[in-house]
Amino acid sequence: MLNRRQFLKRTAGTAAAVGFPCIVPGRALGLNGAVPANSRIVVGCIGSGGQGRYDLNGFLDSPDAQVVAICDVKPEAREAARQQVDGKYGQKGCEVYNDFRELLARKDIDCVLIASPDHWHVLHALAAVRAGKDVYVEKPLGLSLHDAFILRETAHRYGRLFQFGTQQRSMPQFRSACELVRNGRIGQLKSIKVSAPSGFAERTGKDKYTTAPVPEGFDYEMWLGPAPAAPYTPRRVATPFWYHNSDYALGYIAGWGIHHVDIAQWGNDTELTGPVEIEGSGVFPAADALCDTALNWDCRMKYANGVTMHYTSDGGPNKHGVLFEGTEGWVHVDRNGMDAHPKSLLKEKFRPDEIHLPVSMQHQQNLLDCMRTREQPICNIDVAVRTETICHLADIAMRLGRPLRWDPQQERFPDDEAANRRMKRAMRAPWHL
Amino acid sequence: MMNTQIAPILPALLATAPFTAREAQADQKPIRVLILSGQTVHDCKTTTPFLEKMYNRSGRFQVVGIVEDVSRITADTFSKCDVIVSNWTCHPIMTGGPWTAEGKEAFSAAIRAGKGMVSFHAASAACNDWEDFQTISGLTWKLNHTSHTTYHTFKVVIRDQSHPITRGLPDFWITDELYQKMVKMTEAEHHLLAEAWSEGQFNGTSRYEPMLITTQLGQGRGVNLLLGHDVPAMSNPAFQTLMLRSTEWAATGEVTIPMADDWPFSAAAASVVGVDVDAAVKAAAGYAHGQSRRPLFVLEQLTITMASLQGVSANARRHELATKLAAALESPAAPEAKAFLCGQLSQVGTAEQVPAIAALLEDVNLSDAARLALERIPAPEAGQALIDALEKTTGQTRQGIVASLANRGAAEAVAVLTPLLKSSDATLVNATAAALGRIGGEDAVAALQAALPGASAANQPALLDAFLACAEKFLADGRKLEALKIYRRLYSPALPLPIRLASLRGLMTVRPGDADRLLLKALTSSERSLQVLAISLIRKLPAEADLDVFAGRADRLPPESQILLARALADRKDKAALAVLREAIKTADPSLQRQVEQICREADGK
Repeated sequence: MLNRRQFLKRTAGTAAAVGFPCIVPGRALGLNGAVPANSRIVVGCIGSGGQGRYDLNGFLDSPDAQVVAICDVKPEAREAARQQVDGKYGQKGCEVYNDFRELLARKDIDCVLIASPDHWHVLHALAAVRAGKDVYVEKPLGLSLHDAFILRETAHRYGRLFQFGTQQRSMPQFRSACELVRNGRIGQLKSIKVSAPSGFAERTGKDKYTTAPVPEGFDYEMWLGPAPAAPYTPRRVATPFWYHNSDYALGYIAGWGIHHVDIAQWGNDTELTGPVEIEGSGVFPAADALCDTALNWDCRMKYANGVTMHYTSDGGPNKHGVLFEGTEGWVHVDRNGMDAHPKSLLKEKFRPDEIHLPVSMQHQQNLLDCMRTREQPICNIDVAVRTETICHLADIAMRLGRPLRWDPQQERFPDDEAANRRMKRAMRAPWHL
Repeated sequence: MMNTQIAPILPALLATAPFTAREAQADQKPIRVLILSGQTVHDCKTTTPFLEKMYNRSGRFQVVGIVEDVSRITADTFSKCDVIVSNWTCHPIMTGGPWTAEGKEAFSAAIRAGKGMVSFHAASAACNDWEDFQTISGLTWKLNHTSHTTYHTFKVVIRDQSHPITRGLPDFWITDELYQKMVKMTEAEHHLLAEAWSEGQFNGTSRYEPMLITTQLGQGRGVNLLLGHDVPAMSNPAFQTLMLRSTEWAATGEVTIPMADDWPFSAAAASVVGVDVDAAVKAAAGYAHGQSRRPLFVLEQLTITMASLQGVSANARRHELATKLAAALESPAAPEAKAFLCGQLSQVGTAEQVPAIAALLEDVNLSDAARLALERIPAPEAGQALIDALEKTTGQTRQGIVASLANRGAAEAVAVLTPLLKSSDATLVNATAAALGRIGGEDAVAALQAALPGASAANQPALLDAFLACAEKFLADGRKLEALKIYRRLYSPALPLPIRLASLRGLMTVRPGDADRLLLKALTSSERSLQVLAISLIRKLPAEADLDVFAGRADRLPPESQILLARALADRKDKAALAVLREAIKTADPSLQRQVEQICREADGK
């Protein structure tokens, strides 16, 4: 890890020479994949746990990118990522950081992968876009819609590109399913049924909440960041447990389900709007010492276009995945593939004058490609916030247990103070938006 | 079969019978109920008295007898009742059993002659080999086949809204066992009124299971309700409504009993049936890190239920809870318990609880939790409490309060925030700048403007960011001139590039007519980032825009920008501009010209 003195020396040296990132990837220049090092997009990573290291592969495998820096508050996570990066490039050179602000101060970094715990996503992304970096941000955006709106506003302010970690948009069957729906192949779309895991089994009753000394080298205070102070306990900071603790996440109603909700929005052609009515219900664990997000949920929504969406956790009446039901057929899609009725839809081709959704074959590469043209990535900030919103709407409706109305233009619950209160959540000082 | 894997959430409660106020109508004689009791597998010592009280309080029924030993049933046993309610089973003995031949005959005869029969939960789990019993039960428990989920909270869906028992009743939630794979032993048909999804993760069958059915034996009407494992489950108002309405229907064929007022519309409401507010608040106030979260769960469900209450008594009930939460804040509870109470107040608190919450603002351990509540309580008193606390706090605590004022969008706070920009604490200055940016308005702009000239490098980005945020607020309010002033000021080579890029975008938004001039200047500037931004903005110009003017200057660009511009033109299918660009670079390096030709061919779809 870089010490403070080396860090200062380095940033002082690069600031004047490099200046603000300016990207023209080699492939854009017709270099056919052989990108000289000085033309590559320079990537840093904040949060290099399991998901972060998975996402890193997308950047490491791209000829357009050069990963140069890793930040994590867990020494073993940053060391594992450093080895992954240096191993891939066959050379030493990846720097590691404990404090994300030091990584973001590096002027040579153009793009930042953010795969920290959910309660950090907005703060890390805000700091990155304010520093002029483009970002790949793991889903979901976090704990409060209000925070997500501020991030959207700030990303637009600085014209920064944002790619959301809803990588199903870069998997061909999801695009095909949405194209079938958008081109009317199942007739008029009537309803969407979405189901995703609640993580019931992976977290229930597994912790008696034993506190322990904070491990050597682990910056627990920084891990907590904007979340409430709490005594260290090993499970609190381990996946999958923090996924299901409301201090750090909404649970899988956002953490997993957001993937399929995103596809539902894509197929429904409602990417820049949202439902107008929501009702939901869910069951919460009564006695788990650590995890307190919903064990299951069952939410029904209605869009202004009349389409209904039934969003449940796996184990309920909906099949895992996304089912689009129309007046003349249906299409079901999940990570295993696509099914449809009539079956002939599976071989459907689209005429040139029909809707062809943007093609992204690889989610990280899509961002890198867009950094060349400054076009918007396939799950840009506007789309991402709308998808995020649906997860929050479902969560709020489930908690309040009564029908809610939502105004997608104002992005408020009209005349519903109890619901509107749940749109923001104070951060622990000194962290702020 | 009846082991509960998850213990009931709440202590056993006596019936909070929803119908205590109801008086029997003058022309109605009470319906006479005979209860069959005695069980090996359920606690009939608590459930039978519960039933007895429920019926007697309803005003519609009178319990005329309780049979504690079915082997003593004689021909006379059923003569004085209108309806039989069974809380009896001999599970796991499913055949044979204690009934005498005389008892069975009396039971069959009574029902066939028109007396009603209501069984609930395990009462139909008996006498698999007795046809009349099975006919009136409709569904029974078959050993090694039938089972139940773990005790959990689930939704019961009404499937027949036209039947007298369920007419007008909405779906409801209950915390109970969910019986599954119940078996029909006879040819007789039954009629489904309600069912519930048996969820796999609670050891369920992943299908809908019947919860309420009606049956017929001779002239006798039967009802089988599969809910009601124990007193907490039976305390559910919907269970009681269904039991009473079922019993009335079985006895008379009609239903006059209304739906309970406190119908459990949500899982939360079902989880707090009969919970005493005082006890729940007290239990949560006693929480400390490491203990069971159960009291927090109960209080949270209560808060959620209160937060979503509607109707005439809603405000009064929320007020009662909020008052008790605020009082508990003043008790000697652990910080984590008080933080939790603040979280509940953030949902149901009003101006009245602000003083109790604000008292925690200066407490370094509780200030964050207090802010959570004060940010969410809409009353102006909450904002004023934060302003008042600014002077009394320092360091991180103070910064937190600044952030909360920002989250409230507190315009009234600009005057007290402004002096903080002069603080020697750089982090406080940054927090204050961010807050002023979020609040916006000319006073905020004036404050930022005054602070900028002397700002340190540590504060400059936050101040500039706040300026831009103020400009966006002006734009959103239609105050273009004010926005323009800010963007013009910030579009300066002296400022960091992100700020210049942001202000260029801003300028183009405010003055689309200036776009060509601004873009051309940016495109031909010596800064590559500005060039790249200009090209990306050229891409987004209106379709009718004339791009020749940009293409004609391509000769002044470095090769990488030339190619980017060519791609932008190609993506817009602007062949005329592409031709201009090719003309402009005709003396450039041949390999570059070949690349541009390739781009043009791609644009032609070749």
